[in-house]
Amino acid sequence: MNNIQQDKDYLIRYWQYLKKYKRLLSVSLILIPCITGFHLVQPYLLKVGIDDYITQGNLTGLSRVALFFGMAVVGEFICRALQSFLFQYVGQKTISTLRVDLFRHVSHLSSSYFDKTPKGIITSRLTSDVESLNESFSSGLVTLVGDVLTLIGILVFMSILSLKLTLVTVVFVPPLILIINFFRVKLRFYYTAIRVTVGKITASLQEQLQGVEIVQLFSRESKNYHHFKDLNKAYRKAVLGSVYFDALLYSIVEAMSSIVIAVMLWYGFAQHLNSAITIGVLVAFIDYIQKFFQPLKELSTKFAVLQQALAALEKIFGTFDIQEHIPSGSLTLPDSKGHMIFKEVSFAYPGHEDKPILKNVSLELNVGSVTALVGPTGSGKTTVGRLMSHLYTGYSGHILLDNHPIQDLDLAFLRSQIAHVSQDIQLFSGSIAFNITMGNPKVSTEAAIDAAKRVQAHDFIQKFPDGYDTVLTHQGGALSLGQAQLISFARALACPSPIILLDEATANVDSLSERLIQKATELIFSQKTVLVIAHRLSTIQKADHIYAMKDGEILEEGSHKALMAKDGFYAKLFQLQFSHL
Amino acid sequence: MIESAITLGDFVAFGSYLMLLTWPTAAIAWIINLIQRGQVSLKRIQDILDTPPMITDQADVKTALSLTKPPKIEVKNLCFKIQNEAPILKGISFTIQPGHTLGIFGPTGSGKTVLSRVLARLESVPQNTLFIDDIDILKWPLKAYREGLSYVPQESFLFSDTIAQNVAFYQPESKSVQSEAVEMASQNASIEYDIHRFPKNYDTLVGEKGVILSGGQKNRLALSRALYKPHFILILDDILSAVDHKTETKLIQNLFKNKGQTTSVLISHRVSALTHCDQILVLEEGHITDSGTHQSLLEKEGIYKHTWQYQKLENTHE
Repeated sequence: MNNIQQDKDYLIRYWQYLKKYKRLLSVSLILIPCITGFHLVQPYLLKVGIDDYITQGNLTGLSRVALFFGMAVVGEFICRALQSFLFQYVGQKTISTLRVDLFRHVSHLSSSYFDKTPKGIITSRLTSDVESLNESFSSGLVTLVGDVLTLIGILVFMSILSLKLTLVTVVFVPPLILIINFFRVKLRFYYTAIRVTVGKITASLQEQLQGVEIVQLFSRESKNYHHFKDLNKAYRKAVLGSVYFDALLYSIVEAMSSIVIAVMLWYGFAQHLNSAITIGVLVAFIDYIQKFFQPLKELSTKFAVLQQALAALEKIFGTFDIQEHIPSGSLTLPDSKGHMIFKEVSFAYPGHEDKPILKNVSLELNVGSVTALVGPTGSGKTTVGRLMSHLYTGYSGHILLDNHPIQDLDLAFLRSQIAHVSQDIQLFSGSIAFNITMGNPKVSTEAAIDAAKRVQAHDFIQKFPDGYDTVLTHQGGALSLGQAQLISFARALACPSPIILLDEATANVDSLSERLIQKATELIFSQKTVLVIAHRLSTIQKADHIYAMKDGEILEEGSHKALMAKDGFYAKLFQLQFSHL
Repeated sequence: MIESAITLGDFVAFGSYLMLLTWPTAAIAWIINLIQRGQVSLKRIQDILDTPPMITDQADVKTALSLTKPPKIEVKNLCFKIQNEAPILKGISFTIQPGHTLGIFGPTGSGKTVLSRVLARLESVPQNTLFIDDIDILKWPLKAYREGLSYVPQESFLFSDTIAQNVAFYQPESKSVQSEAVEMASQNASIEYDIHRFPKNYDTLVGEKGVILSGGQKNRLALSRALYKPHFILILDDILSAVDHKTETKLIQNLFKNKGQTTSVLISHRVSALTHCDQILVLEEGHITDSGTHQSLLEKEGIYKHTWQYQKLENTHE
């Protein structure tokens, strides 16, 4: 019951998309009875032709009927073509809007959604599920309506011609429906299996290709080959299963229709001998029976298609229903300098509530000063940065920008205030210049080059034949990891945001370049609010204020000198680091 | 029929046959369309099948070869470039004695990663440039060579599976996960403590559906995966830059614990990671500009010494 309610709900939402094309849709709906009419009048004309003219030997009359017959055929052709085109047109239009909407929705979802949803699944939502909806819409829904109309129409025409013969035909319908229903259940099972295995194959392929070097180095090719072979076999089995039952169903219905025709010939001829019906009625009836079984068989498969459409609808609108985006406030602070406070913030990643990653963290980022966050890997440093940008919600405590809780702030505004250099370097397909400016019109080419110079990237960029116009492909391609890191650092420097968040921004950069970068960025940093996250202490000694973290807690804070004098956790970290030198 | 040329039965049968004809006629157009689509797809599949593997065994490969002990690795005048781009490695030569550890030091973009990929045979090399136990690498069967080699790339890739399955990724035919060896590898990669803090320990899922690992944790998991696999050559590409110093010290201790049992290559731009190496190469813009031990390099003017001084300066700055 609940399911039906839900299906109804999804269909209503789908209707919202279709509604825009109401006029085209109604035109093509009107065409359906026209097609049915043209289709069904043909046997009737045949009957008239035989009974009224052929048996009477009236050639002129026959020519007129033949003309009508021809018109019916042409009419059916035109209506069918027009209707098919209109439906495809509306289908494609709707689907493309739906896909764009879905993409927009997904791209606004919060990081917690992407943490737990494989990218393969999201991709298939946007591609194959939407496509399957379209297919079932244009081929399924339309013909379903057409088929039902045809069936009703045939029954009407047959009853007009001969009630007795109609009843004889109808007797065969209930067992046929039983058979069809059996096949429907079987087919649905295999269709579901096909979709599930296709999903598995896609996900497995994607991962195996991404990690192909690891697979080769660890000699896993043969094991993975067998794994893939099994998946492929499961897919083949599912497809063959559906084909088997589909073929069987087709033949059974075909055989049934032949049997009924045979019965009709025998019974109908007896009736004819008794002069109960004319020979024309008999011929028309045989034609109608052929036309009657066709949609009946189609209906069974259309049912499966409709099920697929519902499944696709559920997946698509189910994704629309995921409200895991971070609610945006409305406040903007045009003159923000980026003063940020964490007050007793505790946080656990969704799904890992038993393992809090931050415990009562309080810290303050002052304007024009460099704050550092240090600690061993896995102590929660990166999470502090993620919460600052409001990538996750569901923390306790307060995070304030210029004394306003970040929940009250417009999300786009908040994020535009923070230039983030993350641990995981993300470069996009495009030129180096684009990767620094990110297409932001506020960032001039000069600013981009200046930023590149400061992070010591200018020299190596200049060495590329196309300089700043060098197009980066897949994740940097020609760049080394350290160079990619420098580009993403330059991106943050060039950005006019008041806050700069550096999460291990120079982890892959050599020490001498690092020192040059430090010198070159001093002036910029003195005008901004800077948070440096690091486990290497050489980079943060000059920070104005240092917080030392371990296991999600802040153990110590103060300047480098004060912390060294204290001889606690930080001093121990520091001594360890330089004990070799 | 009215003219008695055909019977009524003929007429009806003729009509039926005509009806039967319509479908195949329509189908021909449909099938032509299908065939054309099929041809395009077939060509695309064929293109992939026809692409020869860049790295593969040559005809004169010595199939009997396999790594059974830490080998000697020798690189002779190696130049390397990717397709038509500017050369990345220029005239590289060095020798690593069996069981020794080579450190490779160099600034960003100097070619360290490419060199490590060449050694792992992830890039193809010209003849007479790389020798393993005095035999040209091209004579070594690819599978046998990789079988004896463990490599940890700079960017670690983990599979959506449990931690245990990720560590025990190396699974020769019919062998299953050996949990003792998994724990051992995790201990040596200093990730054991982290694993025990996960909700399901070794059965915790990682990757797209699993726990969120920090950069350092991913690196160490990738390291334990490499350590789990039996190997005689170990190549670590800058995996220490994402771990804190305490972990780094512990890791280096663990790596040098079984010194002599593997021929190792350790890449880093951090001097502290390389101090224990038997020999250190300094790589700048694709050239070897210097080489020696930690001590001997400190006695020469150069980037190695400057980097060390910089760090030392920072240390005493306090």
